[in-house]
Amino acid sequence: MKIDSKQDSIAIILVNRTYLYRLMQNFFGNEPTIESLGILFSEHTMTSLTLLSLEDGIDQLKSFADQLNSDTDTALDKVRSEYTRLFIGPTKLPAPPWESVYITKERLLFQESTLEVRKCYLKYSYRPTNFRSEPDDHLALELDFMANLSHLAENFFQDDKTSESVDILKDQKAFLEQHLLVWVPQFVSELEAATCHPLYLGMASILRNFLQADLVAIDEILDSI
Amino acid sequence: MADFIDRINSLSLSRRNFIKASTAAAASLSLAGCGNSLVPAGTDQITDQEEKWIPAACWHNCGGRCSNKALVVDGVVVRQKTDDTHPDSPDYPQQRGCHRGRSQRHHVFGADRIKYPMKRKHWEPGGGNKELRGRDEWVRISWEEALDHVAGELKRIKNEYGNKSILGTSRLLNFYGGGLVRWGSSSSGAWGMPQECMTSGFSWSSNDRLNWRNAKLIVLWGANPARSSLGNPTYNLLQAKKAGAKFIVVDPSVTPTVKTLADKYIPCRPGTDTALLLGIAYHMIENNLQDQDFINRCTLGFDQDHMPEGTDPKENFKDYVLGTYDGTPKTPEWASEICGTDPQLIREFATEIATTKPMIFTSSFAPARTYRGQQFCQAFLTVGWMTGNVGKTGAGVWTMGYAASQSYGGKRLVRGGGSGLPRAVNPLFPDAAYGPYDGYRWANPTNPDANGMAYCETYDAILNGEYTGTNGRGKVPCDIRLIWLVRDGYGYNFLNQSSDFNKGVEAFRKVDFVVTNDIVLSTISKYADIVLPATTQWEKEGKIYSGNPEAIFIAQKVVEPLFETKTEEWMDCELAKRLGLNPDEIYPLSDKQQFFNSLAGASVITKDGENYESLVTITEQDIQEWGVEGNPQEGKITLKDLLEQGVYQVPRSPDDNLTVVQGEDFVKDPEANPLGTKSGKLEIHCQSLSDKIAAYGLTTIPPIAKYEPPLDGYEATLKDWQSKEKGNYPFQLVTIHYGRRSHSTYDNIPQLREAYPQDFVMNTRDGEALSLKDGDTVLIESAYGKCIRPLTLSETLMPGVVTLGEGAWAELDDETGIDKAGATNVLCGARLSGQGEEPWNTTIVRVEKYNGEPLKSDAEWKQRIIF
Ligand code: SF4
Repeated sequence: MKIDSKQDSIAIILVNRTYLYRLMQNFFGNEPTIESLGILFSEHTMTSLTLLSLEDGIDQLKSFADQLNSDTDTALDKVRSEYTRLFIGPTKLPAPPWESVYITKERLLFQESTLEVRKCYLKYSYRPTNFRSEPDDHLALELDFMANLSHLAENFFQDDKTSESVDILKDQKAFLEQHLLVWVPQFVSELEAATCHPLYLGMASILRNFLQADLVAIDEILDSI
Repeated sequence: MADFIDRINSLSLSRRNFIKASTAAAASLSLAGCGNSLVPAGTDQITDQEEKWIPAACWHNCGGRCSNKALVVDGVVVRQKTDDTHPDSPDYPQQRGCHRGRSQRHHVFGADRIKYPMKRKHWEPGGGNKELRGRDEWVRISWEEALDHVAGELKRIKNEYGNKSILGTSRLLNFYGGGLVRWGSSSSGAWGMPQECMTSGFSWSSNDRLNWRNAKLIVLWGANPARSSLGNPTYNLLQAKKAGAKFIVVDPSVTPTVKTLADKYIPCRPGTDTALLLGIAYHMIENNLQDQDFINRCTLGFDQDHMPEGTDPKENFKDYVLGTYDGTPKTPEWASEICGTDPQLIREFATEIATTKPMIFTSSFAPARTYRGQQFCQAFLTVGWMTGNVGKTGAGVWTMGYAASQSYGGKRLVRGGGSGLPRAVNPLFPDAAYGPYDGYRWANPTNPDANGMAYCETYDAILNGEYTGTNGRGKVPCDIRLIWLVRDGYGYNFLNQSSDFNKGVEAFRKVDFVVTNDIVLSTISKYADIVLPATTQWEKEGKIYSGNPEAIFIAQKVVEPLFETKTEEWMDCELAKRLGLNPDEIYPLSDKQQFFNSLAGASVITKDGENYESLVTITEQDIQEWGVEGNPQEGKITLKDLLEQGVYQVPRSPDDNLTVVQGEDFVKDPEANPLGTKSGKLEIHCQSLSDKIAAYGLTTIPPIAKYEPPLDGYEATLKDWQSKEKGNYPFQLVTIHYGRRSHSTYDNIPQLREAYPQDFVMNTRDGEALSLKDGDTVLIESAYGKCIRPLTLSETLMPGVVTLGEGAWAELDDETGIDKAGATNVLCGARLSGQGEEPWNTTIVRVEKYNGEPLKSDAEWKQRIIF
């Protein structure tokens, strides 16, 4: 492989993972909108998923895309209710999207593990928008952190600042291993058990596979630069 | 390895184009939603790892009050602890918390906190699809929208139908013209009026706990402090036992208290205590064991020679017991047939209480939480007084108060000051200022300005448009449109906690609007239209909590409000603005000023036990730091130390000046020291009680203790009294306080669910006769509703008696009508009794094996909505 094309491939992976983290962050942190769903079903997203062999959830997503096309208002209303039921409440959340719930095994928010996550963010001078009133370890916040770091790594790489890029990738690897991959698999299983909605079934499967794939991708990049 | 790099290489994508497309897509995603994202942190947000113990509230209506502290690191509570401010000793015990208080952080930080204002999807002003209450989907709305809806409905309903169409009370409502009040009595059952009329409150309080160590015999009637009064009560009672007191416990079951304390156990069927007491009285009279001197000097109504003026001498207690005029002597044998206690045991028990001195004769509230429960109160006080154990050291006849005073008694040794916030009176119910319970133990049935109905009549009032007016007003029409529960977050969950849940749901589905504020989706909020997210006490400005008379607890703000939760004061003020009211008038003082005032006004008893002095030393600098108004003062502890300690307790010792012998002066010279009763004496015959109960308009009682079979009592379990053949509902249900919860609070805490399975308990032989096995899922059915629960068989219960813990959050299946949680109010009918007491402990049920899918244990209800 030519050096240049290898560099190009790495650059593509780097930008792609930023995009996918951003996408996951959006869907696990926000009620879906017509705009966000439009982006989800775009050609670009499909390519982006294929690059990391994340075809598994795509069928589910497509079946929801069909629902949306045939009766937009009903489908949108339903998916929003499902988002509320799964992630907002007020009834008991079937798969609470916070790390501490899975670490403590006690369905608790704002635990010592939350402080660990907070420390990781602060190293890069980030904090949640609603600092101290919303727990730092919400899935979407952890994904946002990964998206931001991926973006940084990607920029350093573009600017040929390889060692800075490597440092960030190492931190991301650690964050994956010490946080996201510790709890997301269980979260995803509970989510899958709790919902029949194709969007969330699809996203659940993509999220699980993406985090695994990203760990592999990080290793590969670290090995090659 | 996946070889992503090679794969991508082989696809020959254009790096430039791909990056462009990705960046553009990511940017539009950011536009399409920015919730749950990170922002750059200011330098001031660099984490502060210092640990700090903060005294934290344990605010529930559990009856106790204990010290609770939270270890806070950077806004996160990592641990809890309880009282360690001084070494523990029997005289000066630590105020240590129970398993529920220690689960407080599970309550505050539970993943299921209500986080945002929520609206039921198919509600719209006027009600929308009302049938969907309790099973609708939910929509998150902004505070703005929520407040506009709530204020809009309040305005509309007030304008169109008037304030009397609003059910509820709160500080804001009281400023807005008030609402209908639910009055009655829940925890203390029928005790309120008998105490007021027969004793003028004399027997609510008791000798102080150190004085209890002088008793030779202590009777606990229907009391189970080892389970129901957590904190120190059982420990204090153990000190009396160690000092030589013998304990006798009367109860339908062999409770943990029986196992811990009792030397003798007297079984008695629920709702039949009056009969047992009459049998005891008969034995005492037959053998002339009563303290006639005390009876003659200090009471009225015992026999025909000591009757209140203007009453029929034949209406005396003794002749009723002997059956002189009604032909039925209330012998132990007569009693036994009703209460199930062996006649010989009744006689022994009677002899023992009549001849052992000094004796303490105390009752809990439970036997009075029965239909026409006043009869029990009358009989209990009468029999207690017959023994003459009043006004003496180591002796007394009392209703044990909540755990807070239970086993403590005596004077209040330390107390918090007032907050300075003026009372907000409900114009539609002037007797009820805004407090944690609406018109709790409402004492003025003759007040014609009171608008509202007994707890148990609420749902009929909503459904039928009328309620019973007190003082002979007959049926009063009403048109209730709005159920209001935006108030302090103390878990006032009446849909779950008042009798007849099924009728309640029907009533809730009739009104235009139900609004609540809540911490988690408790039952009442589940059936609401709008639920406002409330802060817990841990997220609010501090407050002084009093408990037993020897200590106060100074709770402080532990963390910032979670998510979008707000205090009820904030909600009131925001709503006030929309209603055209002035928030500053409703809350003229800030939360902080109120807290400060209560600290500055706190007082402690002087060494001589006669007076009170200021507790807290406050300096000019304190006042400046707090930013409040006030004056410096001298006290016994600095403000800083008190806040750090979080508890102030007055040490006790047997030789201090703080001992109280309740009623000593009265008993020595009743003429010189009359009580506040009509006659100045203890009234065994009490016409004012009979009149007052009649004024409520629900049921009537005679002026002396008489046994009349209660509705849904033991007699009703039988088809035929002679043969004792069982009827349709052969079992008597006792609704007990349950370890998992404080009433309904804490029912959702996973570790408490695991520890306490909410099992239905019945006698082993009864179970076997129905071919039921331990662990079976059983269907329990009354005339009012049905539920399923796992069964525990036990010899600890009298045959024919079953128990279930009150307070589980109903989970009603609308299709089958079955509640899966075992909410006792599904089984207890809303029956109107006495002064509006909820007659929970007279409830009859039938039990059978459940044919549907067996229940999983509650702790495993993971993927389900448990609410
Ligand atoms: S007894 Fe009450 S105040 Fe004490 S710890 Fe338990 S719940 Fe809290």
